[in-house]
Amino acid sequence: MLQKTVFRFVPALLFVGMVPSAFATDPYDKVAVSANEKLVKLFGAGGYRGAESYGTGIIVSPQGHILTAAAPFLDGRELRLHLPDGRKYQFKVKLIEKEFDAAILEIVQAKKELIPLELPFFDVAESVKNAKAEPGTWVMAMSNMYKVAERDEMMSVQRAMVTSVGKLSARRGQFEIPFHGDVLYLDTVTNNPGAAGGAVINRKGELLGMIGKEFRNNQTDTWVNYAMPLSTKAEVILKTGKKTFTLAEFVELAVQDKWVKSERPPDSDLKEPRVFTGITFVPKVVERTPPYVEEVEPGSPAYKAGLKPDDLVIYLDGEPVYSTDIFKDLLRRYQPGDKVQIEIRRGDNLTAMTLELAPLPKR
Amino acid sequence: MRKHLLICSAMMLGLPVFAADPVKDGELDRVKLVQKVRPAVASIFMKDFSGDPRGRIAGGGSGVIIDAEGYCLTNYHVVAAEAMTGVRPTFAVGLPNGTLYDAVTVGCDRTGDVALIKLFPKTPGEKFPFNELGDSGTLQAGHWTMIMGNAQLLSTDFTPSVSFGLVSGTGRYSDFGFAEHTDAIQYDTTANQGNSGGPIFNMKGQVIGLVYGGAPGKRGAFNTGIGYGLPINTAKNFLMHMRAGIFCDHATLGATVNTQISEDSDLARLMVNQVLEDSDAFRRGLSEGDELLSFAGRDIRNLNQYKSALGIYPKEWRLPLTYKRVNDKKETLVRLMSYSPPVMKNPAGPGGQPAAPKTKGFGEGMKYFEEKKGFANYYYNRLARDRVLETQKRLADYSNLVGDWVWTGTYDREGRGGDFLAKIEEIKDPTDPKSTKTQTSLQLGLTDYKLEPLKDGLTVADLTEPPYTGGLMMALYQYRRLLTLGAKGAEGEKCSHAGMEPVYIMPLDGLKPKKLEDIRLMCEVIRFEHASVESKWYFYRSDLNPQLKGAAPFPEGTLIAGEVYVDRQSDPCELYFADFKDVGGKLLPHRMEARNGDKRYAIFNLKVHQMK
Repeated sequence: MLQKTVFRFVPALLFVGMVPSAFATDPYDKVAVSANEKLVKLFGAGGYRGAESYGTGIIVSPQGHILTAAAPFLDGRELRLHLPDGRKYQFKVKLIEKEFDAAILEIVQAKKELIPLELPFFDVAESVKNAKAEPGTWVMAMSNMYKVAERDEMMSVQRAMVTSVGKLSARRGQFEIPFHGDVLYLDTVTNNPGAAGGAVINRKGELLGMIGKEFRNNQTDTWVNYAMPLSTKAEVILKTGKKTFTLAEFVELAVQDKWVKSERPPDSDLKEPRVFTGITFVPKVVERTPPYVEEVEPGSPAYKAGLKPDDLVIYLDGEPVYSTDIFKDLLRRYQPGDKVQIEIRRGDNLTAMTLELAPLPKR
Repeated sequence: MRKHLLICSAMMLGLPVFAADPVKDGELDRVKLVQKVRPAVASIFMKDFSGDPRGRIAGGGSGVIIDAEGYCLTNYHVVAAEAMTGVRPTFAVGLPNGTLYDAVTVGCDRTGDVALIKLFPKTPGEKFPFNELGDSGTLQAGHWTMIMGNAQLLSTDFTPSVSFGLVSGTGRYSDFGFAEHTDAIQYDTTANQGNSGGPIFNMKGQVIGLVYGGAPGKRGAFNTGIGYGLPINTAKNFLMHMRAGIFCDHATLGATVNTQISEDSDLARLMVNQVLEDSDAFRRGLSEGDELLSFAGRDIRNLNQYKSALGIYPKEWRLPLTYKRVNDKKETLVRLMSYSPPVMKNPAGPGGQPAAPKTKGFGEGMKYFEEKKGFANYYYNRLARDRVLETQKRLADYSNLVGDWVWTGTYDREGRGGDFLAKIEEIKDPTDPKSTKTQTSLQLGLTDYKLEPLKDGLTVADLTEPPYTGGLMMALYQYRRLLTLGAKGAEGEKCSHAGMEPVYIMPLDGLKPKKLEDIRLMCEVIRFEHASVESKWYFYRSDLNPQLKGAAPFPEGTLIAGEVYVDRQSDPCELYFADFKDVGGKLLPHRMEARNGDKRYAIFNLKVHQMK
């Protein structure tokens, strides 16, 4: 009897021993391949300095509606996309919703093509019900970062873990992120150039959210890796009053032509810096007036850092400062509380000093 | 009894009864895998002698040992001399057993950014630990990978760092200037400076790639979530070349192409723009306006795919190309041309800058380092060449048979045929009885052909006799020259090992094979030049042909084919030998096929060999 027990245990142990290890190192390839069928590579023309003219999109309807991030290149002309099978189409921007910093695109079929598209797509309404992400969830991020794929080549796949769920506190240049809902923070470098609009999926291949645009963290000045979950919420100002929607609801309504755009006030005029250094430069007499310090306001950040009249500013955070205008331009990137490094020439010496920028004094 | 039932039902349901933690099990698997592969992961260090005569560590990289003799793969940019020109001769290489070994550069492939170095044992007969090479062709985005190496040169005790991640993409193309990453593996696994040349493992512990580096972008090369690796299958294509000390070259088709959107679909097509007239592709009939469909068994529909399909092969390889002209689909074998970008052909650099100063070598490796143009280390070329020729000599020793050679038998040329007689002989000059001249003659039925291969002033028409052979008589003369004299038969050391190349053995019935890949044999190549005629000779080796699963069609090291170029602008005369039988202690071929271009000239059934 005893012997029998032992024998029956052996296969059981073997079996048990194999299952979990197979699970833990289960490859992601099949899930990745099927998710890839529902993603598109977006291309635009031009783009300006620091902003890419390409991105990624998520197919959200069989007719070819696409969810992506509201990237600047979408304003341009010659918008085209590559489907996962390699077909190339033009697309147009159906709408951009600033509260979600997201856009819905539509594939433009040539007139001769009367057959409607029937594309594989992510069912956003279904996904938001089923797929949940919380800290510790293993996910895959898929995007066309760095434009490494074209035509029928596969998106880049990265694995990541959701490290936390929370609000974003980030900016790009002088622009604050317009979106204020919860995001999924990820532990992998997912938010690369061109990755915005890519998909974050779980191990079953269900859509969890959309990779956001590149932003730097306000506090640490490092690039943030995050995605907007389908369940994230934004408050939309309508003529009838404020109303809260999830990203999934936005997608559904937008695809059905039922979305009413928010009455968001235009971005405030950002021509003037919002920070105070306390430096008064020499009067601008020529187009490129060299940034010589004329006066330093006592008690100001510049005063505390040790700047003196007649110092010549050479660099601001590593960027060359050729004129007083450039200094003013560069300063627009910063917010009160940011620390900047200034390099100056005093006599024959180069000196570096750090300024902690203050809010503009109320006048 | 109840207990048993419980266990059985649990098994049927497939539930883990003893709830082993899957995460812990996965971790244990990885720990075991790391322990298994780690001993053969190498930390490579360079030494600088400029300040200190004993030499200081000046940078380094990673590598992986691939056999018990201590051959180790790494990146070219790890072994490159200053300014990415030649190679550093020697290195110090640390293994996780704590020992620092001397090593020498053996071969390299600059365009593919891969190099082969060899470690020297501390005691004679010491065997090195090594890792198995996997098949990078089966990799898919989403597979797990592990990278090991000398990250940030942290491995001062020679224990490599480990990182773990996913394959993010395959078949990627990216141009890095000095190197072109074709068919690259893209991964999210962390790799840093110092990881260069280190192995990328799959979860079976096989090497499936080598780390190239990150993607330089606006955020710098660090922490970008994207890294590129060389697929190990590319390294395998160049491995025999590198073992033979060659400074390898990549290939081009000899045609420029562009993508075009066709009228009837939104899919891109790859159209031929222009074909170089001295390319094999041109001679095979490729011309402007043809649409490329596939190359070497891979579909090519866009430029990335085209570059990735081509960029994994050495120059001169012969590979199948499928193209479409109007509505005709055609398949042909194309010999690839040399790639070398112009900037690299001039090591002095643009603007006549002086070449980089020679890097001083050190240690045991200097005994095994020989410089020669076209080679990374000529010592290993001679070694490989002599090994191939020695093996051939063991199968059939011709070294005493420098007299007249006669073959007789029958020949078959497109159904017609008859008796043939081929003769290579020394004829006494009637005007000067002391001197002799070499003459090759061929009787095909009633037609006689004669050639004095060493006579001055021969035209291409003379050399390519009989017509439509590309120079059969010259080919037979060169064949005898190589077999009787070996490397000494070539003037000025112009007999070298030329790595590995495919040979296609056409079916005897003359019908087109279903797939050209099916009749392909990988061979070691000896390049031979005599009397200003270049030739290449192909020797069968079973370990280069794992697809045959041990069924060897020829004895190991048999000379099975040759290509003789009487003129570099025209198709060579190709000889294929078969039906080997033992004749008086020599393994001699009893059938020979002569081909030219993509056509068979004739099959010769050799009945009598007379060699003096």
